[in-house]
Amino acid sequence: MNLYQELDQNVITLKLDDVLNWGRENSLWLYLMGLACCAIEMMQTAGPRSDLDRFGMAPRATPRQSDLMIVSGTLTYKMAKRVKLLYEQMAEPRYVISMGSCSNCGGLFSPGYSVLKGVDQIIPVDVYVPGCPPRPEALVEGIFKLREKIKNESYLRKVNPQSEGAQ
Amino acid sequence: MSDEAQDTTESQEAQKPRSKESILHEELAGFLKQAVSGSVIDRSMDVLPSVEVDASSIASVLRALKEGEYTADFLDSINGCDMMGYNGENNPERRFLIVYQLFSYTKKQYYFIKVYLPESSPKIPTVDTLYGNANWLEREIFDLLGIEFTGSRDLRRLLLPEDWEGYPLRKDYKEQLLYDGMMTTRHNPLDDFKKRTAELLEG
Repeated sequence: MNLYQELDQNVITLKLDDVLNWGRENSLWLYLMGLACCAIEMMQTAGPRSDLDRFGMAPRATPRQSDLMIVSGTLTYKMAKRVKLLYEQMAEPRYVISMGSCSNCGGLFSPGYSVLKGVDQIIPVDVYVPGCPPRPEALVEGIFKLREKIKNESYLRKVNPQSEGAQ
Repeated sequence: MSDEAQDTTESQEAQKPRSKESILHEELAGFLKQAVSGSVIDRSMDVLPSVEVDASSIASVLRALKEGEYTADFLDSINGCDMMGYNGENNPERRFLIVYQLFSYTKKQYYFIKVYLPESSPKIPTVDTLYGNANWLEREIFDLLGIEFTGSRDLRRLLLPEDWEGYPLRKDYKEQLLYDGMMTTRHNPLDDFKKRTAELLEG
């Protein structure tokens, strides 16, 4: 048996960052922050036709197990405080998709006295998905944009300066 | 309603047969005039036939309707309204309008009771001992219009956060610039576009 031949067939060499990112982008567990009619489209996206399970995405009911929060729907000031609290409970690295006009900028309800004009005023947003509400295809497009972003991140370098700073 | 408008409705009255509700509320006003103290005004010729009563006598009016022959056993809703600028008028004595919508399951009839409240002290006695569901309806009106229901067992805000300032459905409500550190406004790129278009048209 030629060991080198066997290695060639069974071993691949690549950067550690790439492996980690490949794992992260293919296991984006999402936290369901369904607030209004966009939530219906988000459920459809997880349904059989556009099937988020294909990308390793599983809906979770707690922020502590999730990597991605999809804020879908009209955000009132009363709910905004809760959204911020739940976002802070998510473990790093964490991502936010703002889905639909309401969560992007207040949308149709922006003249209202009780509606927050955009979720980015309280938490950082990675991807904005326009639409009222966006179709499942649009949300999948947004998720792919986020996957691209994750793919090009350097997770190790992001973590290390913090740990050095702690020492 | 102005005098002229009332005249026209009266002249039309001869041609048009009166609605069932209008006749019912005329009877109702007659009944209430005997049953309760305080002023009772017959508004059966309005677009929405109703009876106007004093704020202080609202509890006795609803009790008379509930326990008397009219059997108003269900409080359908309580509506609050800011009448500022209605018909171009500003009457501080008739600033707020509260409409009690009652229903009788045995008679299959709706009754409308109206109460006007002054701007200086918008207070009205609660009816939550008569109707259990009144509490939430009153809390909503307190929340959005700032009308105090005296004697209520639990008068808190219903929909808005507890630390909210002001009553948003009042017509003179002004939104705060910040709520809990959150901006209540957002820059609209369309405004820039409009401004630039206006500048280009001028220049």
